[in-house]
Formats: sequence, structure tokens, C-alpha cells
Amino acid sequence: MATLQTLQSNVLADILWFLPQQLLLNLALTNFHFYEPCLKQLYRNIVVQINPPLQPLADAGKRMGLGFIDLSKTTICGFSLVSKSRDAHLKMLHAKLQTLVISLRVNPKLAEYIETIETRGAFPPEIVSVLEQFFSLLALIPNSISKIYIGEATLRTRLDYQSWNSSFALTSVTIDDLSQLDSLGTHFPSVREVIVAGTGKTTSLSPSVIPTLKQLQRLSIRDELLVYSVFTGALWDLYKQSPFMLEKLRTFNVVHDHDNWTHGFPYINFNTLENFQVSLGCNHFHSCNQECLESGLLRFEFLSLKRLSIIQNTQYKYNNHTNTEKWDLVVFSFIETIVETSDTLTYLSIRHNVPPDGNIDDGIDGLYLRKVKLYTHILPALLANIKSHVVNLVLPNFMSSLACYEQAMNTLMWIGCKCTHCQKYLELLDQFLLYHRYYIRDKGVFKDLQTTQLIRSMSEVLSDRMEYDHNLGDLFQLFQPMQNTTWNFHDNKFSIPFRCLPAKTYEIDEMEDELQEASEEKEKYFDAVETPNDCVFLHREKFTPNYTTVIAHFIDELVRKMVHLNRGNAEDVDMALKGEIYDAYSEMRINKIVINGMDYNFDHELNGTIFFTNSYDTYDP
Amino acid sequence: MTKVIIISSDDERFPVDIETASKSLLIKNMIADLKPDLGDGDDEDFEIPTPNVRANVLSKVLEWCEHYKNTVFSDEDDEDARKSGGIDSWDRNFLKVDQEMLYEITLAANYLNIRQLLDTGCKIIAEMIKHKSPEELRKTFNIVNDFSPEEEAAIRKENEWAEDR
Repeated sequence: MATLQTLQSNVLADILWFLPQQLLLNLALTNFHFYEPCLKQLYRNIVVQINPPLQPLADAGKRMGLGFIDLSKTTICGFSLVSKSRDAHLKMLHAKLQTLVISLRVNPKLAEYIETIETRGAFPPEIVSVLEQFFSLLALIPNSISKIYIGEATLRTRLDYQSWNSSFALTSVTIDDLSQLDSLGTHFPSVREVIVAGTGKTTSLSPSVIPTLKQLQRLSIRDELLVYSVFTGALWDLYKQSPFMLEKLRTFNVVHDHDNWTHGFPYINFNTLENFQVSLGCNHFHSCNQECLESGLLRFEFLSLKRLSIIQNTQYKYNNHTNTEKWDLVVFSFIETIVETSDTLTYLSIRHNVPPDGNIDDGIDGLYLRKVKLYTHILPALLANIKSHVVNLVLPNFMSSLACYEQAMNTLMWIGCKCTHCQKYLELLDQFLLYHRYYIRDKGVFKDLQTTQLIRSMSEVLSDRMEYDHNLGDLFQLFQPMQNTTWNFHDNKFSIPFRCLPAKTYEIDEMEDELQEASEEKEKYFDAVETPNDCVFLHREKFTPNYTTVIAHFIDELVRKMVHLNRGNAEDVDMALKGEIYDAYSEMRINKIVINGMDYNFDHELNGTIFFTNSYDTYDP
Repeated sequence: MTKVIIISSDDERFPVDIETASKSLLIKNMIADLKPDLGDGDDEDFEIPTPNVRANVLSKVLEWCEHYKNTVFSDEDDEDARKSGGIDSWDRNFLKVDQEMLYEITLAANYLNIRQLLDTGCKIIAEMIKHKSPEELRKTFNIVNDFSPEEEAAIRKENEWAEDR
């Protein structure tokens, strides 16, 4: 009789692959039979970060099975409750890392289970110190580590990452100077992935690196024009000197710029490339007006592309509706060509470079509707051409783009979702607007907060769930769990924190107030956290799930549009299939859509009607 | 039409068409290696024994293959394609069977090399493990605790860095 204990070891390993870390630990504690298989999975892929991973709501999976993406790594982080203070998170992270170091000292065999280690973000000195202990210890004991990715450049230097060549048999290496490529083949003969995080002072490559380059499967170049230009320039010079072909390469990225769009890649066979990212932009608006974008994309033709990421890298000050729409149309045309030739596409991500304060000069309602139509009608129609594979669509900051349209955000705020939850919290957000101002650096004044800045800031917090790493890009975002993020209602990425007011904005004579401050040369800086005040939002309001739900209900509507769930639950797919009404039926074979860290998983009722679950944010109070 | 006859461990014969049988990579490779002209006007049926799979299990597995015979799955070696997908409603309904049958279907999918069915079986078993303490797991899966209290405490201590706090 088959039982969990009698299953073959590879089947048990497959089951454990779909278990979260706490459950791996619980199962390991039941019987010695499960101890080693569970720990192997628990230690296999480790990520160190401050924020906890985003976990599905307890009741989100009742109707359907959600994805298992949040289980792909074992996370060492702060508290699982994201609302704890940063200090508390750091203390917990420190304690966990120290415990791990002690465990490895007591039982060094555990190191043999570790295959990859990643650190996300920057850490304070006390965490760096324990990370030093962790890596020093691993370097001394037998291990199976093939990849160590330290995302932050200063941490790589501090940990002396480049000297680890004798301690680990890495197949993935991050370089900060082109000269490091020279010895790569000697130190890491099995290297298959190079992440070019920097080029240092070196600008050329010697022919001795060609054998190493030829065995690479992944080449990720930092999404920064300077690094990209130096590296690809060196590759081009090397090719002219001694022609070569990167036959094994499956992952590559390009940074398009007005001055480099004619450059070719004779050393890359795009027909066999599976994962491609292009950072696309042009800042020469007077002479070019983005005409170079389309021509630049003509260089790339694929036959078997699986993943495509497109990133807008035009400076954000140019990214109003008109210019971004032109960019979008070029991108959609590129996608159309790809789906015609590469029916293998399973992943698409599009990231915009949105003005951080949400201010654009043409954010009017009619243009908002055009933007929504592009992404809820045109894009799904393009993806519907992929007939043989299911598709994952990631729009990491689409909501941030929509936040730039003031009229539409006013609609969200004052005549938006009518559910009891949104009614309550939208009213509170209305109060928030009345008691806060934001600082405009250019003009040196505080202005009344508008819905645009508020929703833009909220969207950014959600977008950070899928934090952008310039070294890695967006191609493999679904390979790791998203992180949980929260907001104190005051910090923002475009200026100093929002300023709390003692009275409503319209009760204060704005001009008088600002002029007085200017004449007194008063210190403009305002930090709500460090300044004693009684702002209820700073001290009592919970961003998650109360306010994330408000945004979720807005995005839910957009997603319904994308799959034609036009009448709530009154869909009838039979009518759709007969062509009577295009309802609840999408030709797009969609598996998952992620918009600003909101994760939508799709499935079909037994009668064929499509439905979805918002796995992290379907909060039903 | 030429059929593939799949024979269970208890000698029951299941005639299926080539597309259905080819959802199993094992059978697909066998056809390619041993009978590459199958279906090209060759009227002789091709018999494949499955000595590890009982008839009632094989019948369920072939029902699954028949349902998905025209579906092309995403790259089966692709980690995010496998992990980003949930469990399809049809699959969930199809695998509403007792625990032993679920294990047997999963093992048969492993033997016959049907990656998608194997993953779905594993996901459903993983869901049965979810939200359970070690004691509840022992009860649900009939597992005998062979650790002494000291050993259990030592394992907890060794791995407490991974616990949700």
C-alpha cells in the first residue's frame, strides 16, 4: 500500500519542492525518514533580505490552487509581520543569521545541501558582520554552492566576493571589473552565467576570455548605459580582433540608446535565444522624437523566445502620456512580430519609467482611457495569438503609470469602488489629502497633496514587492517570492516625506505660509517619523491590508476588462462562444498577471468561464 | 485507426490513440524507438506493458491523458512555468480520490514520465501537508514518531532560523 513514507525518493523530493519552509521543518520533525529530504530542500536556495516574503491570504486559495512561486526560495528575513519596525526586523534577521551560523558549525553537513545564496538590498553593519561570518564559515567547509549573488556593490566589496574563487565551485559569477573575466575560466571552469554589474577601469577584453564566453548560457549586463556601453564595446572590439560566436547563450539583454541603436551583435545567435530583455528609450526628443526605437528593435528576430522583458529607459521627465503612448505602440508592434515568429513565448513583462511625483502635462481623462484600452484590450489581443502555451504577464508598475492621470485618480478617490471597505478607507484617504502637503524641490515650496501623488506613492510601495535589480532585470521575476512591503503614509521616493498640517489645507493661507517660511529661511526638511506629531496615519493606520485592498479593487476591474468579465458574476461563456456577446471568454491563454505586486491567477469553471483570484490582496473584511 | 494497447500489471488492456498515449514521455519514446512508423498506414496495434501500474490506476491516468491530448504544456523543465501555475479546476476535480489512489496516480505519472500530471499530484499532496503541525501531519499521514524528545528538540534548534516568527 502506497503511503507518504513509501513514495520513491524523487517523487517525495517533487512534493517537497512545493512546500513552504515552515512545513518542510514540520515534516522533518515527524520521522527520521523525512529529515534529510526536507532539510535538503530547506537549505537548497537561500535568500537573505530584511522584508518578509509576501504570503497568500489564508482564505485566498479556497476556490482554486494558487501558484507556488512564493515557495521557490527559503527566506531569511525579519519578522513575518511586515508592520514591525525596521529595528525589530533587523534584530530578528540578525538572530536568524547567527542561529544559522551556529547550526552550520555544529552540523557542517548542512552546508552540502546549500546550492544558491542571494542577498537582496543593503544591510546595516551588524548584519554585514554576521554575513561575513556566514560566508567565511561556508568557505571553510565542504559545500555544494554553485551561485552566490550579492545584489549590492558595496556589500560585494565588503565581503571580498571576488576572492572567493578557491572556496566555491561557482557556475554563476558577478563581475565588477572587466579584468575579472580574464581569470574566470581558471577559477571557475564550470561557469555558465556572468552578471556584469560593473566594468571598473578596464575597457577591453583579451582573446583569452573567448573560451569562457563561449560556454556561457546567461549573460546579464547591468541595465545602465555606461556599464552596457563599455562591456558591449569591449565585446565588439574582441570580435573584430578574433571572431567568435556565443552558441550556448540563451539569456541576453540590450540597453537601447539613441546613440547605439545601429550597433550589431554578430556574436549572438538570436534564433536560439530564449530570454531577452531590452531597455528601450531615447532622450533626443527634438532631433529624433523616438523614431530610433522601432529601427533599433528591427535588429532582433527570434524563433524560440520564451521570456521577453521590455523596460522604458527614457528619462522620466519626458514620459508624459503622448511620448509614452508612442513608446507603447512601438513595443506592442515588436511584441506582435515576436508572437508571430516565436509561439514559445510564456512570459512578458513591460516596465515604464514613471515620473516619481506622478506629474505629467497631459494626464487628462480621455488619454487615460486610451492608456487603459491599450493594456486591457490591445495587449490581451496580441497575446491571444499565442495558441500553444499559457502566458504569464508582468506589469510591475502599470498602476504607477495610471496614477499620473489626475482626473482618473480623482474618480477612484471620490466616486470609485462602492463596497463598504473602500467607502470607509477612501474617506480616510480623503482626510489624509486634506492634512498633508508635498514638497516640490524645483520651486522650493510645499503644495497641497493631490490624488496623483498619493496614489503614485501607494503604487510605488506595491511595486517594490517586485523590487527591480538593475543587474538582473525583469526576466526572472517569477523565480523568486515577492517581498512584503508597507508604508508609513509619509515617505516617498520623489521628495522629502509628506508634511503633516495642523489644520485642513484650505484653512491655511498657503501663500502667506510659504512666503513666511521662505523669508525665515526655515529648514524645509520634514520627517514625520522623527518629528513629534499626532498624525493618525503615521501612528495608527495600517497600510496593509486596509489600503492595499482599495488599490486591489481598482486593479481587479482592469483585470476583469482584460479577460472580458464584463458583468461581474453573470457571465455566460456559451453566449460568448456563439459570438452573441464577448463575455467571460478570453482567447488569451493566461496563467498569471502581476500588476504592481498584485498577483492574479487564472482558471476556468467547468463550463469554460474564466475566473481569477487575487492571491495576496483579496481581503474580505 | 491504429491503436496503442497499454497493458496494466493485472493484464487489463487499454486501447488508446497515439496522441493520448504520447502524453507519456516513456511511451512516446518507446514508440519512436521501437515503432517509428506507427500510424503511417500501419494497421498493426502496438502493445506496451506497464508492470508497475494497476488497471484502475492506469484507467485514471489514461483519462487524464485523453483530456489533455491536444494541450501543449509550457516547457516542462522550466522552474517558473511549473511553480507559477496553480492547480487547474478540472485537475482538482479529477484528483478528488482517496489518499492511496492519489499516491498511486502520482507514482504512475512518475513511472510513465507525465510531468504535468506528476506535478499536479505532487501539488495536491503538498496542499494536504499545508497548515499542519508535526503532530497533525503524523495523524493525517499515519507517520510514527521515531525521534526521542531530545532529538526532536535538537532538530528544532538546528533549524529555528527558518521558522516563521
